[in-house]
Amino acid sequence: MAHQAHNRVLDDGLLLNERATGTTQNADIVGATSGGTALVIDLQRQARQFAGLTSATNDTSPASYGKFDVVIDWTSCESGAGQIYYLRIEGNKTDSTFGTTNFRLIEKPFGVAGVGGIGQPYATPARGRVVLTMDNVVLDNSAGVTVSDSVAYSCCRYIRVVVFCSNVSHTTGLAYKAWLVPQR
Amino acid sequence: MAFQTYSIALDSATQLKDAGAVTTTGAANVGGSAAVADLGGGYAEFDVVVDWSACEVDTGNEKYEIVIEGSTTTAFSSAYRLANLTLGDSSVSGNATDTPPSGRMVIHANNVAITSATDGNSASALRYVRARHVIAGTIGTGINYQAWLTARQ
Repeated sequence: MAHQAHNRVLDDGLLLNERATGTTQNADIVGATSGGTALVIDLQRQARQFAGLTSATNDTSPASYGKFDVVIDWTSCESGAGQIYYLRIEGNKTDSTFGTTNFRLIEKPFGVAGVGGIGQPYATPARGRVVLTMDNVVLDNSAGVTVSDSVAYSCCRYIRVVVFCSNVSHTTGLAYKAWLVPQR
Repeated sequence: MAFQTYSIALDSATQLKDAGAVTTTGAANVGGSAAVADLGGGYAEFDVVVDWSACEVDTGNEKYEIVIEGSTTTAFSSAYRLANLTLGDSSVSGNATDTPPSGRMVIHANNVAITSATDGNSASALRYVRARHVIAGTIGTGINYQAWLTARQ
């Protein structure tokens, strides 16, 4: 498998999800522990701890630029008619609760094949691994900017995963774990 | 602007789309012909720079998805979705705000896809890469964008 050429450390301190979507349909399932505690990565805090700094005074918003992988291991994926799971990595500049002003950094669909499905020739197999690469840059047009200047570009401080389950019946859904992995 | 810390060479030899507005879903062209980058077949990590000079959000439901696809053939008879960037109105793009009329974003990707419905370990490095725009909503003038595949910095 191609990804074996890379050695990625899967740190449970950077875990984004470990719970299955189950029977949920037509709704978002936010990344969480198996016990249901929401998981949000604070990039600014991670950067500070990586540098060995114990004070949180530098944990300011928005964060600095960050580039990272997200490793997704799944152990079951229903892929019957209409069953699609849009796995989305979301960012927020200032709000760890993701109440408002959320941005979608990347999207990876799982489930049934074809044009009406995930857009792949094959359905998602029952288990596997994919690696997504992204950064935390978003284009924030809240000020009504008309040009690509420094007003518009921002870096998200908080990162989470959300899976939107399609509007058909599901039994086991998508069971997966996901980790954020800083790029070397 | 965050991207100014990078120097990204935009090579016309690996351009995936040239300037021109699009209003319907389709594969991207350069000079009126299908634009396909040949990576040679091995594993590759790369970026795709997307510059747009117009992005219509007049109605409030316009969605423009720039999808980076890979394939084992230049005809893309079997196309695999490698990465994507969603632009357009905030009501459908998943972003908090509408996409401004001009701007640049960089998509980070590799050319690996799982090429089996039954074997999750059946991952292949795809030789050919192209851009495709998937457009939905009430579209008037659409989006005018260019795209380049660039070697990972």
